[in-house]
Amino acid sequence: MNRNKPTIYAVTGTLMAGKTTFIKQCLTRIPQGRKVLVIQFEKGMESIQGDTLYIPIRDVQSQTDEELVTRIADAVTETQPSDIWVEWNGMLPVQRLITLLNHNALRRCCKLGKIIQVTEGQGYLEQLAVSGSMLMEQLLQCDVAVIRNVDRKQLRTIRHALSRMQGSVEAIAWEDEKQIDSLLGFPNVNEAVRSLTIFTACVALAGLLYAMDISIPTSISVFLGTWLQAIPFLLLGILLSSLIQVFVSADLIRRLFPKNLLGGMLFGIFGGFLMPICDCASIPVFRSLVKKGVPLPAAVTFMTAAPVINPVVMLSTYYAFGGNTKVVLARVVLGIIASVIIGLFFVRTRTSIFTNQYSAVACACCQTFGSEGKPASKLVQLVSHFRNELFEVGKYLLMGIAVSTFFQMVLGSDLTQMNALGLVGSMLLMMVMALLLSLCSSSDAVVGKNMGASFPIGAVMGFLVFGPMMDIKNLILMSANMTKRFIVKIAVVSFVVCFAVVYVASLLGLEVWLA
Amino acid sequence: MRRVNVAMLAEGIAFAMLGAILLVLSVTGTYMYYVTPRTLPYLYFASAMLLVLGVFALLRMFEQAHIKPYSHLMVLLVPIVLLGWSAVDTGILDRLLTPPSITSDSEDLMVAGGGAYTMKAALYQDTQIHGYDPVHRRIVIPEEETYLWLVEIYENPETFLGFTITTMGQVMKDEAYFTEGTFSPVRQLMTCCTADLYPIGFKCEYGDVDSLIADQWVRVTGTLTIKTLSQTSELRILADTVEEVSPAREPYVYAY
Repeated sequence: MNRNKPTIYAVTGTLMAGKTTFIKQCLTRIPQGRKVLVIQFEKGMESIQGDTLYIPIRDVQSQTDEELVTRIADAVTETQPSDIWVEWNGMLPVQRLITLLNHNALRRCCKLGKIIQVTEGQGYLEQLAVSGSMLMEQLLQCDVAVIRNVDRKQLRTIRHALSRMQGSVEAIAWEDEKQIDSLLGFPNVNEAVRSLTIFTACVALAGLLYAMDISIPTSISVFLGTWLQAIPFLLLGILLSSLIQVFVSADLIRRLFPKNLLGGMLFGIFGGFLMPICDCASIPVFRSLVKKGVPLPAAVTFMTAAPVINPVVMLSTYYAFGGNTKVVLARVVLGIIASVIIGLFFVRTRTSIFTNQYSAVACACCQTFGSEGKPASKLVQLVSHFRNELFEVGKYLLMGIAVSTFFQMVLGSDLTQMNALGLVGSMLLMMVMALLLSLCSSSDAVVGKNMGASFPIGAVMGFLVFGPMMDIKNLILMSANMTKRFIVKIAVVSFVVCFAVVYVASLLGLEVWLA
Repeated sequence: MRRVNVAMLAEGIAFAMLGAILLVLSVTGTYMYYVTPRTLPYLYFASAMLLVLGVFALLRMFEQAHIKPYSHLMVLLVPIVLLGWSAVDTGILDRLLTPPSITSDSEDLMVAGGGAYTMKAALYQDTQIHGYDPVHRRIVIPEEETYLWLVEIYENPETFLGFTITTMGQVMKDEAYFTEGTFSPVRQLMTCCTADLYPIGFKCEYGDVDSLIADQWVRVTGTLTIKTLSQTSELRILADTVEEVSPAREPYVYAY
């Protein structure tokens, strides 16, 4: 009997967003003969008039869910409408509306169709970034966002930003009546398309490996080895990042963090030195630090230094090179020098490195509301942030590992046939290999040593200094929410700086000193 | 009756499954098919985090939501499916389902070996390794100590010259690395994970290398010697016997 149940269209938005006007405009386009019931949970700027059945409910907060459900169910049973439009109060959490509409008594007499957020376009993204914003809570539960007063370019920017916050939402311009009608009538297919795309990509990759005569079981083993090595560090990084995001205020960071450039960079190096994390973990922490207002040069110095100079990496280098402390020292010192220089390249960066304004300031989990409308506890915020960030960067980790596995299977690590390249050629080759193979910084020392056995030590050092800072896996991980411009810049700058630092050190006698 | 949010239930189950899989791999030691023992504490941490997220999701499974995304679960489902497939392919599942038995040739080597030896190599000083029989000038290298014995012998070759060495591994006789009449019984050394496997083993001289098949598991017994080449010299085992054996119990050896 589901077919005969009236469909509910719920309209959300802040006060004066234009919810009533939007509903009125939609009602004018509904085919004649359809009986429409409008339930208004707040008094709109415009009144609903004409033949429409209209029920105002002004005293939501003083009524229990059961009482509200009974009122709505009675109205539906009595009026037998074809469609039901609900205008939800902009001051109340949408979660309460969803709880009401999913109540068994209502599900028996009507079905929830779409939830539509109506919003002013100017300053919309900035509003989403305001901590505690109801707009974000509404956005996370809506199918369609109808945006007022935006041109095509602004709409494109909003669409791009929203797609990263809530993948299912369709952003439509207020004036685009045709698309609004179309979306209100058809189910959202985004989810299915996305799942199908991922599945197709996996099958295509497997097919490519098979076509290239590369062992799929070995590829899967390499993939899983890298994933199992990376995931604990990624989780650790996300945990640290979540703790910073939820418990450390931007004010505190600004107060504690050294104000001058050099002090900030030294702080970044010191932080990197203390954290036993690999490159997978340093990226989420970097992102949190920037969000909390740490100057970009210092944060970049931290991100690039941490995977090279932390205790675990030093120990693994020590073991890999048979207890040669000079190699460890050279790796750490050159890593610090390169990190500081890379950081300096970002002193004049003024534009946001994040793909949208929202990412630069806040996160969805910190705007989690219970149905009572109170912000969630810090613990719930922490777990929510942890979960959201894991899903956000986890997919990029999988993609990064898939790409690096592909390169490992295709390229291997046998470079003995290329031992006539000289210092510059062998350094470039080893650094490109570090980029493509994406080895964990805690293990790359052994591989670098063996792979570069027939090369000058400068080439191995290029591999050891550059590899942990930047590789394919990290670049894909960064693309989760950083701009292409920033990613390209940091990749190029890191490569050039690491090459220059290690090359100059070699000219100054690094090879002789390490011999 | 309260209605279940199926998307949240699925998320909770996926988190719990992945956390449980990591826990099983960690507790049973089968994680060593993919990563080194050094990773174990981190794997316990990852398992705990995933289980916490699973519980968190399950606690929210009665919380109604309008938007119920599923595609993000790929982040959990891809590793779950691949770990499941790999468990069957690599024999982890068999190992988990059947009790261990001492049938491997490596265990025989262990039994046949002599007493303990205290390492002198700089990085592993005072580490105890086994299979050392100074009276008969013989070393029977246990499979899991292949790397440590290699380090010890290469760092202190003079101590062991003339010893009879017994070791096992897979035949490697690639022409790019081996001259005629030589090969290595190699084990795959894992430093961090399966992405950095590297073959290690003694170079052996043997009169009938052509009869050996690449990758077959063999046990080599021979005398340790130094071979002087045109410009340098290298350690080699002059192999007396090379016999085919069953594969090692553990797929890899580990640096630390």
